[in-house]
Amino acid sequence: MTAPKQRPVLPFPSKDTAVEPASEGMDLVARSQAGDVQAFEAIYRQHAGRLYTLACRMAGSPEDGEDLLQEIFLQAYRKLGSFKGDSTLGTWLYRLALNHCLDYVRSRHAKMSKLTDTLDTEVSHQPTARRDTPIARLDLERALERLPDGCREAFVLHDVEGFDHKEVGQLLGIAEGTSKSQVFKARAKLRALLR
Amino acid sequence: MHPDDLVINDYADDRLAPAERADVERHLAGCAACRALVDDVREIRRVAGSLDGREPPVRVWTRIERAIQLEAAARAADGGARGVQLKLAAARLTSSRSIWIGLAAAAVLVLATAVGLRLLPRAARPGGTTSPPAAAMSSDAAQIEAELRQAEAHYEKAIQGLEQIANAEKGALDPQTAATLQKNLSVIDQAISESRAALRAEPTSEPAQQSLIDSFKTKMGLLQDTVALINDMRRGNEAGAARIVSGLKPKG
Amino acid sequence: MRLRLPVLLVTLASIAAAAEAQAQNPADPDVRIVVRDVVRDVVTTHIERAGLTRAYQGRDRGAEQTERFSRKVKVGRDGRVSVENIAGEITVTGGSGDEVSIEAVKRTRRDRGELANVRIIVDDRAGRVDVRTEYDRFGRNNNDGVSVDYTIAVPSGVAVDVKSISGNVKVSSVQGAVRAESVSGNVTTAATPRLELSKSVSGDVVLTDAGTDADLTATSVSGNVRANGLKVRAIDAGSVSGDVVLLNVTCERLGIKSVSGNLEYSGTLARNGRYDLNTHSGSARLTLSGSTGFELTANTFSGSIRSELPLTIGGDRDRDTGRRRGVNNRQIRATFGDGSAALTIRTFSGDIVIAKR
Repeated sequence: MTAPKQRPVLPFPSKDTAVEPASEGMDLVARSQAGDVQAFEAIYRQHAGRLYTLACRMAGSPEDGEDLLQEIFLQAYRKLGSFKGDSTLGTWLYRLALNHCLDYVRSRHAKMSKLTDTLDTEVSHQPTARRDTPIARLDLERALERLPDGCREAFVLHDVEGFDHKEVGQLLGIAEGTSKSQVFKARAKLRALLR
Repeated sequence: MHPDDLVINDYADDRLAPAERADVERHLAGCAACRALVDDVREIRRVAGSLDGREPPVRVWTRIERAIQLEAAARAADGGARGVQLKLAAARLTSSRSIWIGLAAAAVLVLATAVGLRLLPRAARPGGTTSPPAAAMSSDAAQIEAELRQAEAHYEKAIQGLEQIANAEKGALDPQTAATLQKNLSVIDQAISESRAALRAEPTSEPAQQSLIDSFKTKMGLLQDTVALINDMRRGNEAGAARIVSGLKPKG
Repeated sequence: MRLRLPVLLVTLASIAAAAEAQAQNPADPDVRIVVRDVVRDVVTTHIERAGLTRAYQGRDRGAEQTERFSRKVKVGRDGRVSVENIAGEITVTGGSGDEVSIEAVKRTRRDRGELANVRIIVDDRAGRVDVRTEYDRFGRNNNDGVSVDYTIAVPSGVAVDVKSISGNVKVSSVQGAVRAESVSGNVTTAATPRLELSKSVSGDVVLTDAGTDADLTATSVSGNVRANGLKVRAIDAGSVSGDVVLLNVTCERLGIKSVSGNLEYSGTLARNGRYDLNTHSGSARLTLSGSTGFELTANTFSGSIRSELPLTIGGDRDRDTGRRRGVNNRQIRATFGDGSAALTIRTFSGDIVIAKR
């Protein structure tokens, strides 16, 4: 396999990304709503990393992830008025980001011709020698980008983000069983890519 | 006869009831292919759950901020009308951060108004990420260096701003603490100049790039903490109560 | 990090307001000179403020005048105790009972009357005791050469939050959540199973037998950070010019950092744990016990990388990543055992050593 060239990602001058206490989050939110862009920047600094990571993986490439991240934060800025503080700001942003990613992928998917959903059965039962080296994270990240839409999101939500199949089903609007088969399909494809 | 793929999948995730699990295990005892599959699936899941996070490129915030400002300008200009007054928005753009926006900013502005402040198509962005395959290698390196310079400029500005504040609020720190902070800022400056020298000698060296960015982050962190310390001390003096400093951490 | 965001926001506002782009100037001496000037002004101005100088430079004029203070306050077994002081030591020790016993000594080498300008305030509310030192702000200067040393016994189950500006801080045998900070003093904690924060600017930070079920932050700017006996989920430890030495550690996430100081980690690795070590000119040394496998990413510009453990180098894979290997690039991606933990070690010129216990 020829892996796509990976540019090293330079660290962004962000502040400490520890979870903020609820009161601090509310303060920044209030100020951002009042038009204080610097307060919103502080919110961005705290949460952009996590959401960028999610967006890249859900969308399937860093370029798309970048577009998504901008849209996510712009939307967050516009919708801040609806944040009431009953969850942490981080959770609220995560949900917003996740929804945005899902919308993005769904609309992109709808535009493309329907991909075949059948499992690549030959992949899974190919007699394979045991892996002798563990999988490197970087390789898995790159392989993730090559997964087709559909199974990639399920895989990211289940294996990477840690939702269970029921939750994945709710998030993606599919049945729990479909989530399982999509996740397995992704795993099988990754297995082939990483051999 | 192998178990169904989804059964194997559930087995790998430890989601099978004991009876089914026993069945699968009996099969696995004699089937190397399925064993390998289970092991690989588990390995994939394990690695997937421990992936690293990534930081977004510097330019993302710049664009978000610009978009916010344009939106605000649009609202302010015509009291809600759809058109954006180019002059007003342009004035904001040129007064904000980096000169590198320059001409590209004008293009950004036009496009932003044309498409109603939606995200710009990739081709129109300054520092766009697509590049022709033939020149991939050199443009890649040039891109990294360009982004590094952007990051440097960003940090340097932030650092200068912090130093101005520290200067303006001088007097709140005791001499020992001030001296300690000064000495440690010099330590970081030393690290910065070493990283820069390394980059001049070896512009594509990742460790050198990383060191430079790390050093900037550390310096900014220390200056931020210094300013916080000064403010706390001052607030404490003014309030007449023994307010104590917190939040000092030389983290990058 | 309790970063004062309003201050930072002011900062960013001033940047935005003032900014034309700076030409990127690779020569950085300007920055250093600016910093030196800034701090020199600060130092000079301060010396002119006699009072503060004396307070921080110790007691060396005249006979010492003292005044004792003593108070006992009931607080629940899991209440909260906070102490805020400016100059002077704070020692908090956990024990039995349900009382907070406060002993304080005011000291000065000036006129005895100065002692009256400093008040010890004990705020006693339901489940909380807040102790603080207050200086009369109509006095000649704040901190009139008066220091207050606190020795406080608390029920061992309480939560303790202690801060001093120029004085050592010591907390031991406290089971509740502990936060301990000083600016120029050392911060020492012992037998604190729920330590959250231990910080100083110029002092050393020393932890013995510390645990936490959340995240521990232990930092100094010029002092060293030393720990012996840590059982935590996550620890962030750092200094700028001091060393960070953590011995007998069990943790799942580690972030240790220095600029010119050395880093040392001696302990086990957790499966799927993440361990980040980053120093510029100091060395980074890990001494590992146990057999947990790890995936190592080690980068240094001019240091060396050495391992006593057998590593499988991920050479071929690196070719795909498009990393350019120059004369000064020292980068290793390697695996030990099953590669379950993630080790990331970066230095600029310091050496990296992975040793086996």
